[in-house]
Amino acid sequence: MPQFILKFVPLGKALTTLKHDKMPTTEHTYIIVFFATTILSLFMCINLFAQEKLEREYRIPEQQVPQIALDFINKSFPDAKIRWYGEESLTGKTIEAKIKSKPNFFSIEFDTLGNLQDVELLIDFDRIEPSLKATIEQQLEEQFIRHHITRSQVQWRGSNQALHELITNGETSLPYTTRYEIILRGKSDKGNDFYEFLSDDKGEIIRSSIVVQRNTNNLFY
Amino acid sequence: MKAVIMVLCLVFPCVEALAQNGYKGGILFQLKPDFSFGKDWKLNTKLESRQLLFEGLNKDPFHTMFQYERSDLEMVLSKKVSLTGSVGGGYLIRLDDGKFTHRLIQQYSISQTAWNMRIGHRFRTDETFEKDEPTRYRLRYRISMEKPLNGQEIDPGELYLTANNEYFQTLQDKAYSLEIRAMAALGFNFSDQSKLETGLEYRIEDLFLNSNTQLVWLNIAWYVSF
Repeated sequence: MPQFILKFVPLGKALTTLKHDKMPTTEHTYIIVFFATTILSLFMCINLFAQEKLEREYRIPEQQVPQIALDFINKSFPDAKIRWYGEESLTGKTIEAKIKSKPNFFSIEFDTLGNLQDVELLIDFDRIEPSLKATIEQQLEEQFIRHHITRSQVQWRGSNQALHELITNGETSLPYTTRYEIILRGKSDKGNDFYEFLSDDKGEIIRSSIVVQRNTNNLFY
Repeated sequence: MKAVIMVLCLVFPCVEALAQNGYKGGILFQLKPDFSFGKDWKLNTKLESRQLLFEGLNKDPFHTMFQYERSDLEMVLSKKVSLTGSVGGGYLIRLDDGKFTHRLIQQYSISQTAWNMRIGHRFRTDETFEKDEPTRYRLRYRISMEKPLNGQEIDPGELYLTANNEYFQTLQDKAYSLEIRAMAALGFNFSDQSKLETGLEYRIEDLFLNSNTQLVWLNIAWYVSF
């Protein structure tokens, strides 16, 4: 077994380290430079963290969900597995239920008091009504050289009863509004980006935004 | 639970072989700043230091130590060529036992999203130049994934799980060998500009040669973006 010697590091009286008896003293310098760089980066990271805008989503237990939201979900999805999330952004906080009710995926949003905001249902873009699809496609073709739709959802807003009937029967005689949310990869004169579009029930695009991609450097370096 | 089992299978693919040939392990410190230029260009740098804690040969007594082994400085300049893909080229300099090693790097990487995971594929070739040694050529492929432990996205202030598996084919002086690496780590995302990952990395080097070396590292990596 090698012997260990406890020594003080010359450049930091507070720092002691276990040192192998054959280790050259110059190697101390490498270790100290490394730790100094790490500590410096820690301070930089704390500073960067302070500048970060608040926008996050996180799992919450069912106990934290308002009773009226639970009542609506339990009535509409008596047997489904439900995951609850809190969402915080600059516009406020909401609560979202994500539900897989075969073959459908629903996202149902509530405010913090449990009032229903909207229902979103994942759909296959190729299966939406042909004239509506053609209207949306025409606008996308005007904007992009090439595009590929990666995700589409129908969004319903209305009374609790109207939304409950839409969830369970797919239709209702009560008033409600329909919108379509589309996420796509698009190539334009400005380059390639991911975009999110919101269209009304006629297919007219009423809002668009670029989806900011998260830094994934840790996957490659 | 399935994810944990999957990660353990990735990290310890050859546990039975641990008793054979040489082995060593320790702590791998990594500082990885990246600098963005414009929309598509990025300089990815890495400062890495290896601290040995144990090493030995098959059937030898277990040797423990606290010994600095080597340092690497790596710089890879990359350019986005599509929404999810980028190409890059770079240089690495290594200081090991008072000697310098130089390496040229070429790579292509692509990312994809599956369920709430992000998956990255990296294809890399490199050429290593060392005094009095034949040039070493390597062909590498690495698959990586990260998965949030809370919610659908890795948001600021949240933990995540990350794992990777890499295969190296090496040619040096007409001798072929294979190296496999696997790593599983827990990450903390301070912000989009800063994250810390720590976990275990397992490597087996010189497969198909007369003797091989197995390494286990406690990996501590800090990613900072500018």
